[in-house]
Amino acid sequence: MALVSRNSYAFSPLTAKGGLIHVPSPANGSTYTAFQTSLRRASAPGAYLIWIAQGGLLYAESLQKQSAVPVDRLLIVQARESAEVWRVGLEALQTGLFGSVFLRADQACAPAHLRKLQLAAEKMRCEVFLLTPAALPHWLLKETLHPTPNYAHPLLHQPAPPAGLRRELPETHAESVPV
Amino acid sequence: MRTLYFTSPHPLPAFAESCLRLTPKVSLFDRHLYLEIDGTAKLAGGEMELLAQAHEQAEIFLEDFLFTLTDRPEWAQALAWAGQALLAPGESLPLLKRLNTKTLLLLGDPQTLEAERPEREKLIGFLHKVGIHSLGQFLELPAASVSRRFGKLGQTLHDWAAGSRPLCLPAFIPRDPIRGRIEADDLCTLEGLLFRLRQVLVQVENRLQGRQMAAKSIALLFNFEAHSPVVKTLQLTEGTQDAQALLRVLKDFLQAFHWESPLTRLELEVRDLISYQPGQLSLLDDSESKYHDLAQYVARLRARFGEDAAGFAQWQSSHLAERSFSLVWPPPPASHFPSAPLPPRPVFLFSPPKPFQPSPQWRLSFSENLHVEWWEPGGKREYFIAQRGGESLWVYRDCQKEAWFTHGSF
Repeated sequence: MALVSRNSYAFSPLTAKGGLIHVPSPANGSTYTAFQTSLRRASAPGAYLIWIAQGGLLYAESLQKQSAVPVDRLLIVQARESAEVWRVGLEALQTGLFGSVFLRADQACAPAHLRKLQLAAEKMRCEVFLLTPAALPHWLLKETLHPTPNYAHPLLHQPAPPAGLRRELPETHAESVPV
Repeated sequence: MRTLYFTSPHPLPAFAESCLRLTPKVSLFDRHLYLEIDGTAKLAGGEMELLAQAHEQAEIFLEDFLFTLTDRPEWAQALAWAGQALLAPGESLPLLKRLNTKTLLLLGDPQTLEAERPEREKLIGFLHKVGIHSLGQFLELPAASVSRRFGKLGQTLHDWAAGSRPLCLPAFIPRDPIRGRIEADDLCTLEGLLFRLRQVLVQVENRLQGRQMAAKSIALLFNFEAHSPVVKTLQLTEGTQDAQALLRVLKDFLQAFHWESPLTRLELEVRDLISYQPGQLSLLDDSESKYHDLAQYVARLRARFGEDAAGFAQWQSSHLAERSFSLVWPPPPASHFPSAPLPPRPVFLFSPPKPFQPSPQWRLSFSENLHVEWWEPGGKREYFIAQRGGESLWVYRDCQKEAWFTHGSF
């Protein structure tokens, strides 16, 4: 199991000049894996980070306990739709306040907007991690990171709970619910 | 005692408030404003620089006004009405001497001018009868004989004209709430509204600077053509005076706020004021200015998406995942979350939870049971970890609704 430690925010020459890094992730899941993969590459010790996602929030308590994410330096934003995620992402980049920007959107944005993001990221020397299942034009991306099974959620690999706490799942729960 | 005097047919309290940033010695009587600038002229870079700043502020608050810069406050009204704007030190008295004796109506303590007016008019008539037509002639009379010839009022006016009587004016203390109003009948775009809002916010900025205060929250009263008025309060992450920063926050706030009926008037009031304490900026360390910029940016995000949708996570005492933290400003210390072990919980929570349909494709393993608070709708939640291929979801079955939901993703 590969847990991210604070030391892993080391300067990374690959992303030193900033740019867009695509972290393909399923729409519904693997946020932890994708996020951890991104964090391993984030190279701005002490800088503020911003996480912008649609449809939900990072669960801070879980993050704090399971990884070395600096919660006190992580600005969390919940946008209403994908377009807002991309728009706020560009805006956050242009402020120059953040060392890394994490965007989680279900849908891709227009290539023109992605180009603006790319230029802003390079200008601000900031890494932008795009956690999206959507296909993105590869010529605008600096890199694509594929989450590896090594970064899977650590608690899922914990030993089974003691027998007293264990409970069998009723068969009915595993069946499809008629629509 | 160099004095800058303004008069205008428009109300002056807001302008007087903004002038407190130029000098603390501000006095206001009805339509007459006196600024004693001896102590602060050097600080502002000289009399002319201070005058330029005051003039710039007057243009923000007043449509038309008269002003004069003179040696003594008791001469200011007379010289202003005589059309004299800028008088270098020592120039005021020679000029005053050339004015008509009718000017005596405007000389002296502004608090008593109106009450003494009938007596003064009588005295001026008497002076004309005895052949005294200018203030110069009046001042040439020996001070000792003025009292005998023209009585106590004559003596007082002689002293005022000669500048030999001290005048102590009470200090102006701003007490009115800081308000602004925009008539929006003829506006049909947000840009137009923001343009007018900017002018109001510049006034607000100047008034806040005068009070040495910063705005912490702003109440907006929307008056609609067909609806009852709506009040919205905008909380700022940190106190600010800056009109541009306020405009950016209000722009985001107004973009997210939709109204059906035409807006007729928008009223704005600064509700919470805090003392303005600018920090000491360092040439080498920009962390403080970065923090300040971040505060402004968070304020804009909260104005746009709502206060619970942007901020830094702060722990809250609740066993329910969605209530165990809130998004706040400023960032809380890092080690504030409890260290008690948790059952497997995801890093991303869907808000609101999405419907889930269990099927044989999903491998479910029990995680925990949680009860919502007794005063909330809903009942027991049975949580499971649902896994399929590389996906892991945190799902629950609401026992009351008999429905499945996806609450988070691992």
